[in-house]
Amino acid sequence: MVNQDPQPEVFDTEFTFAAAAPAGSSITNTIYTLQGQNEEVRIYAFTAQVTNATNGVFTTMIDYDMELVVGANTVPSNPFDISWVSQSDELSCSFTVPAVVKFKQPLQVRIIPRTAVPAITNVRIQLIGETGVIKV
Amino acid sequence: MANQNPQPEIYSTRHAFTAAATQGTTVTQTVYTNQANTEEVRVYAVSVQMIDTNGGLGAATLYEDFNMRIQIGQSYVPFQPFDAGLINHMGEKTLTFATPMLVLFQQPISVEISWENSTALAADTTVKVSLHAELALQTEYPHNNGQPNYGRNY
Repeated sequence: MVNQDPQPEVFDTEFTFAAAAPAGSSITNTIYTLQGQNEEVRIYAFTAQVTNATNGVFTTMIDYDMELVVGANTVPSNPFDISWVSQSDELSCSFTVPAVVKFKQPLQVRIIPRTAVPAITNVRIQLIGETGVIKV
Repeated sequence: MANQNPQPEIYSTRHAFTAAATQGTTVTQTVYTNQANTEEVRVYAVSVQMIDTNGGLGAATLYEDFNMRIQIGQSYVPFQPFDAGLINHMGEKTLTFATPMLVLFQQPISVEISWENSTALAADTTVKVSLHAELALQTEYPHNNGQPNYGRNY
């Protein structure tokens, strides 16, 4: 339930991969948007950071894909590369148009390493969006 | 088929080059947009990241002399190849096109990456490309030869 309309939102989620996790293994986290039935969430961008889980240092293995699941569907349609995001100066990627999350649609983020993970690694994702009351 | 209208899309491809690839060696990947006959895809920008065989930045960061070409249907858009190494080297790692590329139903998208240096590639390198796009239902664009009118009313 929003306190202002629209209300900015930053949804943080972290994925920890064990050392030697094989390529193609994945971790899925669910995000709770706590929106009312007359509200929708719009995701405009995300940030990605890949660090060594032991010491928090940037890791050298950056070959990860991400999938965003909204309700029963993936939006965008396919998993996409986030290595360039974690290596860019801004560490962020804006979608061309927002991904829209309706009431009771579960929001999930899936991270998939495309190369075997050499050391215990954290992938941190922030979804940058807003919650707003639906206007007809 | 879009789940929302418009729907954000990021199409990622991987282009693997082996060490000793010679000048002109090209790796082409096809992008499947899965769009319906009432939908069109608009590609606004492209991102590039080069990695080594360990998924890291080892030797791959040293060899950036790659060109990119994007084929939509039977045509290249833009007309000419352009530098992918430059995009990989940029801080934002993203190049935004001046106008969006338009992909219609049943038009295949191919991304071609080629090694351009006269010296053979010295290490295994994978070039990862992401196309930033949206998938949307087609709307009518009257009096504008089928092209978007960007809000102008004729």
